[in-house]
Amino acid sequence: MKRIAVLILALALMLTGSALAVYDPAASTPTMWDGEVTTITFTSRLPNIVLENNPVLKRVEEAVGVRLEISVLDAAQYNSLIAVQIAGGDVPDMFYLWDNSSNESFQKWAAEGLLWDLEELKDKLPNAFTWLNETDLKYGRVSSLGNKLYGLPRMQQLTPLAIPYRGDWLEKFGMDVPVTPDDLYEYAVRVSKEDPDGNGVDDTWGLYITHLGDKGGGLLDQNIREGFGILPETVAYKVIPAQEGFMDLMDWYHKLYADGGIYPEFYLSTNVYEDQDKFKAGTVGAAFKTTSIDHTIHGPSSNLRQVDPNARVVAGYPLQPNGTTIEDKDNFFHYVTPSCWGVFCISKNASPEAVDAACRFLDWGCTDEGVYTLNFGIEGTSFKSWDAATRLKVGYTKEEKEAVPERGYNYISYLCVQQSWADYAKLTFSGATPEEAADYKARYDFLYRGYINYDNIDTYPGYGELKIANAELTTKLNDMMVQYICGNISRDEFTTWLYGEYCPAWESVEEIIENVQGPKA
Amino acid sequence: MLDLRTTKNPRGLGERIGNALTYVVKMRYLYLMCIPGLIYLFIFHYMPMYGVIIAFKDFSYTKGIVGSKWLGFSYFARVFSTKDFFACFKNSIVLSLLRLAINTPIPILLALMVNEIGNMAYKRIAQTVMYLPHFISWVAIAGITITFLSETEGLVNLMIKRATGRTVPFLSSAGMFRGLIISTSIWKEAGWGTIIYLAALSGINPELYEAATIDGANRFQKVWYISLTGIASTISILLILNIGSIMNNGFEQIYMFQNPLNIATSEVFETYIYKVGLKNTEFSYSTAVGLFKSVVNAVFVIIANRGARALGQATFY
Repeated sequence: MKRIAVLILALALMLTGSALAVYDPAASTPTMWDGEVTTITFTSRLPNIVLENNPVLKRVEEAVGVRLEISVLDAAQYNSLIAVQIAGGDVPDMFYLWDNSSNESFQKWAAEGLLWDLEELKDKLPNAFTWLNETDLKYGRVSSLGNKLYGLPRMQQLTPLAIPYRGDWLEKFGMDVPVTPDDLYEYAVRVSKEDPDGNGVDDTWGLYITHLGDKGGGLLDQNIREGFGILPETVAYKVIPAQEGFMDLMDWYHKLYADGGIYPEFYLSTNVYEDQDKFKAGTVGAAFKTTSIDHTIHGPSSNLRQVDPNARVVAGYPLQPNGTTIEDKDNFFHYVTPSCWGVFCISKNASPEAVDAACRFLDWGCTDEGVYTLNFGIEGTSFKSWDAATRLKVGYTKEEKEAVPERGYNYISYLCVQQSWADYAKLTFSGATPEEAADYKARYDFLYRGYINYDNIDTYPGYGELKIANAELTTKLNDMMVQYICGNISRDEFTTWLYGEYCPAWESVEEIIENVQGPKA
Repeated sequence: MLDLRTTKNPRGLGERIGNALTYVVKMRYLYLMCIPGLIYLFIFHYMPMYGVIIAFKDFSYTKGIVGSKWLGFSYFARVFSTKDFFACFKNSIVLSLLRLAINTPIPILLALMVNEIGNMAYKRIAQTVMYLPHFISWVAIAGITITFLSETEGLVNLMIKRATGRTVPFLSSAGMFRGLIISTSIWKEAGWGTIIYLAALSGINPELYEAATIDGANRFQKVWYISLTGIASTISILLILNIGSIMNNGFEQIYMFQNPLNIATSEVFETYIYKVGLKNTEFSYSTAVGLFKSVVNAVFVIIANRGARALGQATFY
């Protein structure tokens, strides 16, 4: 075990070094615009953005001559609010949509001629079309409209998700980081029953899962479902609930809930980040859904340490089927797809000058300089949290912490679009101690060493339409899963609905996949 | 306000209009004070009304409300063919009837009780304490309620567990959802609801109470025969207003307390419209559901108004 850890750490250090090879603002000449400045309206989802005296927005103006008049809508209901804004006739020159080709509004706007087909503007977006490959661009296409490109995708090459565990509690139980559903089951029940924080009160729970979000939220988190052999739709040719392992997963949750391993009132979640809040409060041993390790370790782990000074966070692997051991690491499987975090659209109502300006901005966002500036800010001005030598910061000062929200510009542009930028991404969730940082990086590298790339079904022609038609069933699936897990409905009631109503509505998925990939081998 | 139906000796339409104008001129400052309210009503309640036509149209973002293509009643056909619609209808109407039956008399009782308090300082404090919850948002109230009633960490359940060894699923039981909604809305709004009744009670001639005392009436008899009778017309009007919103359960409160385990009773029109209309951006469909709801409300107003008239109570028309 120790030898593996040393090897992993060595690999992590090598990768840290490789990060130095990517964009260095100090060694580059900044782009400067010498023409007229154009103001464009831009609606976006920019939590924490500081609009007044924003040095990055000033830099955008200097670099490409675009003054962004930004309207920020509530992030939690962004898609609904922008749909209402546009329905009311207030169409911004450029806007961000927190979704992609399978979004109903996006398809409607494109069909009604409200959006530019960005391939018509290809000459104005040379960097964007170089930066984004055809797989990425699929997220901005609308299959029912001749596969035209109505949105420029904001891509994240690799989703850095992992399961965060309490390392100090694992140590207390004499357990390794869980690998299989059985391992996690044992850990979760022990956290709930054995009072690992030692305060004598029954106030710790094994894991917290949020049921909110698309495709079952955290309940169907890829890190969990892979432990039950559930594969991505485009690999299995079936939607997840129609796959063999789905009911095994549900039964596992059902039993774990009955045994007290799951936070009893997880169904009261009102936002997808509730698992992180509970984790940071030191009351749960593991958390899922959007709890990428960066959310949990970066900065907030110090919150956890305020509650429990001995707390230590470790990143766990995606679960593997029962029987797998750590020694089988070469057989570990984890399916990874580039994930699209929304699209940028340009309105047909925008003036020609505004269209040019929007293109200049988006295209600059696809250069090294643009990606760096829009994602991380301006070193020394909007952030100071990077160690110049290693670009790895292990612990923040109070001032640096306060500066963190000002770095939240990444909703303007693209995050780690290319693999080389993934190294930068890794550095942003570096942990609060050198040990945490090294541990995280080691597992990240382990995790992505042998991953299998797959197509996201969202990009397949016809799937968006099917998803829209079945939107109410999707909402109901979330409710039914929670009801079964908590014992409010029987297994028979659940499976009768699942196989009688839900799965038949998704049968055409197989045909949709076959149309792209051919028949299943 | 002038009631044209009760104007004495109306000789003809001309004279009635003349009387009305004279009254308006005489009360001109009161009418002027109405103008901001009327403007508000016109802008925010009447002008947007034309938007309901999208229930009959295939709403287009580019063509807008007026330019979109007419579809007739197809969205209504879809509304009535959806299985979830009837569950929503049942949940909405049951919850509203419960509110009407339970929430309506409580402010009246509270007002009568407050009216009986003799110590003015205590009366003022009691009124202030009763009004305060009205100013707290549903989000905060839901947070407070969940904190108290949670089965995991809630104070109420901790006490119940100590006493009985079990917890009560206040927040997760479909059977308890309606009780939760009714009790929280009583806590929030019952005090505020007393204002109109207290105003009506203050308008009762004190000589009636003195006369009743001389005649030997006890306290309960004075409340029953003078106070309650004195505010009967106010109760009637407010009841008609409440019946007029029988299908409205309010979005925030329900949504804040809704979760997958109580969905069988917590899905009402407001939450359904939010999920289908806003989350899935089906504006025409959700407008059709909303319009159906408003029509039902209007029908109930007419029935209630006629019922009140038949009973000889105050009515709107």
